[in-house]
Amino acid sequence: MRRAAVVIVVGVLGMLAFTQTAPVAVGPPNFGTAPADVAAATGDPSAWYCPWVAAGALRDSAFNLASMVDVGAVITLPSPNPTEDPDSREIQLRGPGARSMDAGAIIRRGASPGVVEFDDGPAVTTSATWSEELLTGDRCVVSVPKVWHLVGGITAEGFSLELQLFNPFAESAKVRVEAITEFGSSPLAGFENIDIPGRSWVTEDLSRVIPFLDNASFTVTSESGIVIPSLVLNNGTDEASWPGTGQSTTWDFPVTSVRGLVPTLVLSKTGSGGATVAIDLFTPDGPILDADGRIVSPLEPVRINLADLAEPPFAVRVRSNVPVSAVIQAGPEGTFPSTDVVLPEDDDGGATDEGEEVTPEDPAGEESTTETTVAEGEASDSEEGAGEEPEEPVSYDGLAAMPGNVDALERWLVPGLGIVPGADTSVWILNPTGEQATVTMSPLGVSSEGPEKVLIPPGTYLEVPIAPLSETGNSGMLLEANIPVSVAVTIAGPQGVAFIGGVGIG
Amino acid sequence: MIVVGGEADARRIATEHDAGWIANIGGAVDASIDASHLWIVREGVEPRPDALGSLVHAATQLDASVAGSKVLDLDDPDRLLSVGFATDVFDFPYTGFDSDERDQGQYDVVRDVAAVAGQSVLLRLDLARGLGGPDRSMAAFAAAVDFCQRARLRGARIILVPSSEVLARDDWGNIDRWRERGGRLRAMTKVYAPTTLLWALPMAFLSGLLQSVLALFLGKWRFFDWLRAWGWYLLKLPSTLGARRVARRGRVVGDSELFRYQVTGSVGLKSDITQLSDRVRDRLPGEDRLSVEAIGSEIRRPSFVVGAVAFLFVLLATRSIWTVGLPAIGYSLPFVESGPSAVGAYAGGWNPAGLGSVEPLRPLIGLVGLIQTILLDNRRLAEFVLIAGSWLLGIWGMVRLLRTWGVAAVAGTLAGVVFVSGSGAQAIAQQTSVGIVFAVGLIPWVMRLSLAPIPASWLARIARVAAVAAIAGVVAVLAPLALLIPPATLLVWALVNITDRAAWRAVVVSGAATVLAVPLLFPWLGAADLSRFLSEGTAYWAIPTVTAIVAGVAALSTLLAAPQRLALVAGWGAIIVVAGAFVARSVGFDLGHEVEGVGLALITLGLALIVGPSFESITRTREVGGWRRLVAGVAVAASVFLVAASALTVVGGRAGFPSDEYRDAFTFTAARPGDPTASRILVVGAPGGLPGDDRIVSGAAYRLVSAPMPESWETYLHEARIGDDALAETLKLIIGGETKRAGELLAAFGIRWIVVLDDGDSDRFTNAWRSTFAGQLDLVPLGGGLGNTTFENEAESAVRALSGSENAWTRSGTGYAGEVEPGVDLEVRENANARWGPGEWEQRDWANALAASGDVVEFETIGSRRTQALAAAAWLVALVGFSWVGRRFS
Repeated sequence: MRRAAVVIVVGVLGMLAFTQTAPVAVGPPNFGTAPADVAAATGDPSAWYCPWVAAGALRDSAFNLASMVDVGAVITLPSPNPTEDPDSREIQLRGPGARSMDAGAIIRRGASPGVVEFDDGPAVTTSATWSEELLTGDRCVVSVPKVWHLVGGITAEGFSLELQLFNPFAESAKVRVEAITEFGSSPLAGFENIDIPGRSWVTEDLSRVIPFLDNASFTVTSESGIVIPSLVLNNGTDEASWPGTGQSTTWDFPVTSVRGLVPTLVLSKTGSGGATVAIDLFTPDGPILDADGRIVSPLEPVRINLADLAEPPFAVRVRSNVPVSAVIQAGPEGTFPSTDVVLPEDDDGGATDEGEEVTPEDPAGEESTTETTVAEGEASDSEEGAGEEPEEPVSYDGLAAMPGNVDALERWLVPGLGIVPGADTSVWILNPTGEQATVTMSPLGVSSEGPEKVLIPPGTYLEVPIAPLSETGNSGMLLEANIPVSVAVTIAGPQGVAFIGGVGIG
Repeated sequence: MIVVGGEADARRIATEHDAGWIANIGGAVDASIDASHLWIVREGVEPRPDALGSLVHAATQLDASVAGSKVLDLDDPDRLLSVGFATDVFDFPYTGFDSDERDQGQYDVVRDVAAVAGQSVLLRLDLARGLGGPDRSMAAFAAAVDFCQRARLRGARIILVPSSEVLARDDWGNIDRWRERGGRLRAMTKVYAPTTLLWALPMAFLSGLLQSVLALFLGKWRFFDWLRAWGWYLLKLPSTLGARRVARRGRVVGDSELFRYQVTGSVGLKSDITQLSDRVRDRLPGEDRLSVEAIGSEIRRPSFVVGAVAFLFVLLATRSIWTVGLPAIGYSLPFVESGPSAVGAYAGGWNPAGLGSVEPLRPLIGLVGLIQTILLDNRRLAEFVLIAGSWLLGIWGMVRLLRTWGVAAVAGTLAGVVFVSGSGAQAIAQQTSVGIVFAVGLIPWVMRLSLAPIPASWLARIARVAAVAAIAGVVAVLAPLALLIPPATLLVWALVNITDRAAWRAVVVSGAATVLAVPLLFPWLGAADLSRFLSEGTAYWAIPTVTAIVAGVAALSTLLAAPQRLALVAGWGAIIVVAGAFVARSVGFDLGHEVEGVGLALITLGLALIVGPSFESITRTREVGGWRRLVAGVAVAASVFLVAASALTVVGGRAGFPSDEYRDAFTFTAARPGDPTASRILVVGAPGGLPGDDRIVSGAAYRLVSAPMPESWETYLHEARIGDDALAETLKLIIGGETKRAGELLAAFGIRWIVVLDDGDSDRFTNAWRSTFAGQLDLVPLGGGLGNTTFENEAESAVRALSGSENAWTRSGTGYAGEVEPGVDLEVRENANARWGPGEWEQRDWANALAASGDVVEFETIGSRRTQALAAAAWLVALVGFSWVGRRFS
């Protein structure tokens, strides 16, 4: 009897024990997912990585800072010798304000990527480098993904192309660089595994590795550690540099060229499957939607001569069904080899280019014949007063490149205005929407000038020339719009031309 | 004639016989006696009429200074007790007799001996005076050997006169008592040359220890005698050294003369080994026993062999603890480096876990620290002693417990093996419930003593309850919730045997003992958050299906087949197992890690209570026959599986604990520049995968530990305080990507290293943490073959205590030590508490700011807690004292 009772008790307790509910499984952490490719400034402390700064015997460089709030900033230039301490400078910036810091005032040793750390935000940084014979500039990078895309490389004769890999972190990085060209995927010997020591950089001469290419796109993948890559393109007369980006389905280019330069758009896609891309143009007279459409193959980057679509200047928006990379490059006519297939009957004859003529020995030399203007006529840069005798517009000679803006935003910080001696600076504002944009432009700097409002009709852009810093004391600007707009900066002068993408406030 | 010693009665008898009386033998020697010789006869000895005459005749004829009589057994006059003796080097007397040797005149020749028994000895009075007489502090045999050796050093001749016979009580049984042992040590120290003592004393120590171990197999407990003897010896050392000077002054011979009368080796050891050999011989089966019945009876025989195998098994299964120490994994962390520091921290000191607090440490820390201190502050030795000791005690205790119901030693030993190392015990070790592992060894003793027959006298009953309470108290200190296991399981036993008064008495005894044991948990019990203690973690043990089925088969089969008593024991065991499983899976009741450990302890106890009866049943050939024998065979087969599963613990040699993961992860800090103890390590990973308790931020786990290696007092984290909240906010900031200089922020918490622990195949947490820290400008990833992603903080001043002049202070116990800097303040980066000192204190943000005017800063002990700790210790001593006194005098 007792045995039976024991068996029953054991059975009941056993069932109870067995049927106890399990605890809730531990969920994944709420962080650590792949960061979004954020290029905007936020209200948090941030670090901006400027891959290409060079202050030396011939060149000058400036770190251009702008902030909405009072910030402390530390500019750090690592030493070429990783075992040496970096050089740094702390500065204070009252916000909203802007300030440019001469890199040479920190250290003058030539090429040296830099890091600008802000202890608050929103704050942004751009950089500009110039000499008597070149002018280039970059929007510095705040987000650091593991995979970067750099498009628009040219290693044809007359060009030199360098890939700069900047590792601002203590951890050594190991990256893999892959290329796709007009000939498809192109192996890069020795680029499967590049080591970049911590807090240093490596410069690879791509012209030597894969010469004679008209259109090369690169993918830089960090196997370990993190790097910030950029391309530096030199055509013998000017230099253009632009940082790596991610891929996006939308790219805005508020500026594509300045007078004297012809714009090209380079598109590239990685992965499998092609991308269907539509190109919208935004002229002073209004938008030309779907001005062009392309299928971008994953094995072949595409260079499009935008001047074939309309008379520059104009702004551009690239729309794609899948993420692609895009960059605008501008140079004198005939600078860029064309990889478009041009039928003989579409050849309209000679080029009328201003400035030096650089014509590579390939069908790209025919590019000038494609200068079939869709819309003849000038693009009025600004709303000049009527009745005045129009001055002969200045024509520039140089090489410029700029990745696009991913997002249109309502607020933009624009530092580095008017800082290059003898160069003209303009702020370009694209309104890609169907509504009129009212943009309040507030100078940032020492001046007590008040803000100015401008109106931008829907589907157009506006170029706002900026007076030199020496005249105004203001090296930056805060733009606030009632609707999302896109902003960029051009600096053009006898030295050359630089396009610098704007930095929105997220 | 002088009567020496005794009380008033002795004095009265002396007066009646016109004899003198003197209090002690020394006085008798010193007294002004106009005599040449002194004949000492011990109380109770009956000399033959011619005893003295024979002694005097032989002594004067042979010019012997010391002459002794032949001693015969008072109760059996033909039985020889002593004809003088030789000794070994440890002064252990050796007669050379066989046991119960009869006097047939085989030793009737006057001869020189090493020593004579003290029952009847004739001394030259001048020699006795010169030597100061026998040493009154020694026991009889030791005093006799000592006196003779001192006499020999002076050139005296010591003879045995067999024609002088006396009858005396047989007191050879006292030869192994602590007083005799201690006396022999004192005797050695008095006479041997320093070079002899240099090796003889250590050998005596080891020899005695080995004898204590071997005595276990003879059913004797000699360990305390051995300890006491050495304790007495050390206490008496000053007077021993004084007596040595006197003894060796005026010596005319050296140690070689003493060695002439000594046998080689250790007499005591040889005696024990001989007895063991005899027992083994008695247990070996005869060659003609090949039948199944004989096999059954053989199983009952080799209890000694099985016991020896079990002992070897314990040594093998715990070998890694001896060589490496406790594996550092989960809640198992190395003991604190300094035992006294651990005791001090428990008794009102600072709790150093994380950023520190005043939350009391678990009692386990205090007890372990105390044991470690006793063991010469050797933590690895303490770890081994506790683990191996728990296993051995557990096996032995289970044997004793099961004997209550007639389970023989072999079956009990196998049950004991399952108890300490079977599936349930392995689960406890896998959960790294260190306290439960230690406590398990004592649980069967609590139960056994509770179940033992109640003594007749009240004093003995009180002593019994006190003994149970003392053991239960130690169980509670090791694992507080385990205190409830004995009374709860005995209650179940009483319910299963509802009419058995003895079972209910056991419940009462155990219950009373449990109540009496509770004060031992102070000061922890008075200050701990018990609800947090019960709910921290997750009580959900995954039932191993195969083991559960096998255990079920064993239980059911034994229930069916075994005789009634054994069947009920097995059934009781089965109830305990399933109850334990229920408790170990009680996460639904918001119960945590501690409760799970108790549940697992119940499971292991229950399994042992199933296995023992199942093995015993098969040996009961008369009671278990027919179909029941078949079913019992099934039970045995299942039990064999359970026993075999225990063998898995031999593989790693870690007593079932998982392999060490933290030593490799953290000890690299010792190789980094600077003093690692000055900084902390931030450990991050998946919840439940970090050392001890962890905290959660954004769904992932983190905690702070000390470099170079966290210790056991850091296992359990306290309720978050101001500093912990500040750290959590800082981590959220870093996780949110709001800074690129995480190192600078973390330096303020003394964090110099960040270790990202691997979380297994999915690596979700590892990758999340790695990506958080990888993009920081001032965190340098360390490679160099480290198994885990590790960062070093480049920011300056990533130390736990920093003076105003940027000098880092290093840890000293739970405090800090550094350079004296008058006028300079010191920031101690522990949770703010005004008891930090000495000197002026102020709170700086979440930390402490003190003056660096002394070279040490520490937390001022909380007096009330120290008092409670001392009171608890005193209470334990009192319980032990009550149990000893009651046992001795009942």
